[in-house]
This record gives sequence, C-alpha cells and structure tokens, in this order.
Amino acid sequence: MLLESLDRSCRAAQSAADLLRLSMDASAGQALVDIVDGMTELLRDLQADLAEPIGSVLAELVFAQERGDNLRVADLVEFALLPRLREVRRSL
Amino acid sequence: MRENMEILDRRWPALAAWLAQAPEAELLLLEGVPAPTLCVNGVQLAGAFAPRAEAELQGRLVPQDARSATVYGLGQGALPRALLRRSRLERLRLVLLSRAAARAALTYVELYDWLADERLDVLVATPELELETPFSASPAELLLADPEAWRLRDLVQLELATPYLRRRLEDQDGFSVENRLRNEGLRRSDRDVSVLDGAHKGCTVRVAASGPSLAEHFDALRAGGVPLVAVDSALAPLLAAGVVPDVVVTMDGNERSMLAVFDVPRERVRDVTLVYHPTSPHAVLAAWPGRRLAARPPGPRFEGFTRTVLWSSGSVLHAAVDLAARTRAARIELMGADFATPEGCTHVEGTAWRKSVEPHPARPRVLDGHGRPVLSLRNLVGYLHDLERYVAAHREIEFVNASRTGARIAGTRYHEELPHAA
Repeated sequence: MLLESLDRSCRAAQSAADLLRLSMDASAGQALVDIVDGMTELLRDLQADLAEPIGSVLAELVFAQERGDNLRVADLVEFALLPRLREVRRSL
Repeated sequence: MRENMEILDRRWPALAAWLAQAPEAELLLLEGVPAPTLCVNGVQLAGAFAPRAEAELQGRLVPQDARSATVYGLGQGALPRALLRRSRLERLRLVLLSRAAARAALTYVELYDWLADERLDVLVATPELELETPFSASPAELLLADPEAWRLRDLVQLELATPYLRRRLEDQDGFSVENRLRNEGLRRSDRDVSVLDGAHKGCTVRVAASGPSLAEHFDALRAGGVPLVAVDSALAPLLAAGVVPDVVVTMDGNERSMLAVFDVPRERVRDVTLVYHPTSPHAVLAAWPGRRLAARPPGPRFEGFTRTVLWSSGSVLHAAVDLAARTRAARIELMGADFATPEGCTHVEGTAWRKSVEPHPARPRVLDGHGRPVLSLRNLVGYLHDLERYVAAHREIEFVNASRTGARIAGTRYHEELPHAA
C-alpha cells in the first residue's frame, strides 16, 4: 500500500515539476494536490528520521508557492522531494 | 553585459529606452546551486539545477518542424537559445513581458551568442499584441509581467490551460448526459429561445451579471423601464433588492449548485422567462413556475440538438449577452460584469457562491475602469478576453460597462451619466 502510494507520489512529483516549467499552472496545481495527498499518508506512517527531511522540503515548497515562484517549486519538487521519496522507497 | 547591450542598441534601439524605465526591483543571485540563478522580486528567472534540460522541455511546445515560433518572456535566455539551435527555424519572435526581469537578464547573463542571430526579432508586449502560435513561455516572466503585458500574458496562460480545461469539461459530461436525457421531454414541449429574436430591436437591454458591482445598480434597476436579462446567479440578489428580471439565463449542469442558486420564492418569478441549455438540471427546470425557452451551447457535442445556439466559452454571462444581442438591442448595458474580485469578493452579496479571495502573487490581476490593478481569477480572465472578442465582432451594438469597479472590457465604453460610472 505504502509502496503504491510512494510510486504515485513520485509520478505526480515529476509531472508537477514538468508542468510548472511549461507554465501549465492549472494541471500542475492538480499534480501538486496529488503529491500533498500522498505525503499526508506517507508522513503519518514514516519514521521520524525519514519523515523530517520530507517535511522540511514541503515547508519550503509552500513558502515558494505562496510567492508564486513556480520554478523554485519545480526545483524543490524535482531535485529535493523526489530524491527523498526515492530514498524512502529504497529503504522499505 | 556590455555585449548584450551593444547588440540591443544596434538591432532594437527602442528597447534600450524601454528597459531604462524598469521599476526598482529586488534582485538576488541564488548561489550554492548547480546553476546560479537570478531572482527578481523573489522569483527565479530559471531553474537552478538543470536550466538546459528545462529549456529543452519548454522547447517541446514548439513542433520540431516549425519554421517560426514565439517565446513569451526572456527568462535567462536558455529557451530562445535552445530554439535557435534548430536549423529549420527561420524566424523567432521574443516578446518581453517584464521590464525588470528583462533588464536583470540582459545586465547579468551572457546572451550575445544568440541575440545577434538574424532570425531573431525582439519586441515588447503591448495590450494590442495578439497571441501567436506555436509558442513557449518563461514561467517567471508570466508572473512578473508588466501591466501592459497582462492581456497577452492572460492569453498565453489560457492557451496553455486549454487541455486541462477540456479534460475538466469532459469530466462534467457525466451529469451533462444525464441532464440531457432527463430534459428531453421538456425540450420538446418548450419553445425555442429564438421567439425572443428582435424583441427589443433598436432599444437598450441591460444584462445583469453577479459580480460585486451589481449592487451599485440596484437603485437604477428598481426604477425599471429597461428590459433586464440576468444570469442565474444574479437572480437571488436581484430579487432581494426588489428587482425582477425579465429573463434569466442558465447553463450550468451541476444540480446541487443550481438548486442553491434557484432557491428563490416561486411566486416572485412567475413572470420571468427562464432560458436554459439541455444540460441544465432537470429539477431546476421542472420547478420553474414561469415560461421556459430552450437553447443550446455551441460546439460539436450539442450539434444534435435542434435549438438555437447561444454563444458562450464557458460563462453564462456570455450566453446572456448573446441573447441580448439576438433581441437586436442597439445598446447593451453590462451591470456586475466585473471579471474580477473587487473588495476581495467573487460575487455580489446574496449569491449562493459568494466567496472571499485572498491576494496571492500568482493570482492574475486585470485593470479596472480607473486603470488600477484589481485581483481576478484565471477563469474570469479567460471569460473577459472571450467577451472582448465577441464585442469586437459586434460593432453594430453599443456595449456599455456600467461600472468602473470591475475589469475594463475592451470595446465597451463607460456611460458617464450612469450612476457610479463616473
């Protein structure tokens, strides 16, 4: 179940990053919602040492999104969140 | 970058003057990343990890065999550079949207390797410039766009959002089909909306939308004397203000929303004509105590319905305006057609859907009737520009925007003797 959720979040993360770089904000917004939904479930089930780095990326991501900095959001999703999710997947 | 400026001065001398007018901006260099990146007013001009891959991705919006293309926004120059690597490309238009972003990039980033390319033309976005396809865009510059570029920016964003909007529309088809089937009997017995054709030939017709500024017109509307076509969501606030419209237009197929919108005293609307689309919820139509007239939206999905088309690109206001035009009105006065969220609200008080809207940097802005920026929503901006095209195509009608509170609608004028319009 957790693996499936992680795979879905990884796909959504790559998709969100690409869509943000393409200025397709509406579609990217939907992909970001999918990521947040997946993260809510994941962070609840993960050990603190794995959950905390993801939580800090998400906090920075929200901050970037609030100022409309879509390329920063894309960078965070693709180069900070996605590697951490893959790390979690490998550790399971 | 002296080399950048030398090329600019030589090829596009007017641009230097335009850049000199750039407003003060907060400029930072994001360091400690694989590709140090400029940030203008807190917004990265390009990706800081793989800008070349980012440009290649953005370039995919332009077909490989395209001979000409347009790039909206300079970013840090990686996208135009990537496109100009294509030998088949004969012409590239670079449209600058933000003075501050363009000046930052031209001052600090090496661009001269492609700025001198003879296939390139650089121009500045103006309110008159139309969207050209195929194109790709810099996300940062769309956000940082100057007010003169807002219309073009909106067109770019709308075009890029179209596949998503189309999917959403297809998702709604479920209840649309059900409503269509359930309405079949009514549609056969109800007359066609064309019975209103020419009903107000040469006269003024008022169209009431449900933007916050509708409240400014309640006194004038109560005085009556002018035919009034209202959109569905304006019905409740109009009735609450003591105004009974002649016609209400509805097209939304969502039953729960529409039952809330039409939760009005039945006895107050007995003399009101309801103009509907085949996708309207059956429960709303069946409960309507007055006359019903059937119409249909444009598009291939509805070609099988032998009813008159009321134009709309998604907003019921479009259909209401088109209906007013079909009555052959010489003048159409738009009331509450704000296409914006003045005072932070989506609708006039008393509508079922009224919501507060918080300011957000990514939220679009339009210019109001005073030339001041006012917050809007992405869908409203799209509807605004579609209405502007409709107005431009109907020169025989005088369109009047009755309030300066909402968005300025190109092609309409303000009738200064109307209350609240001055």
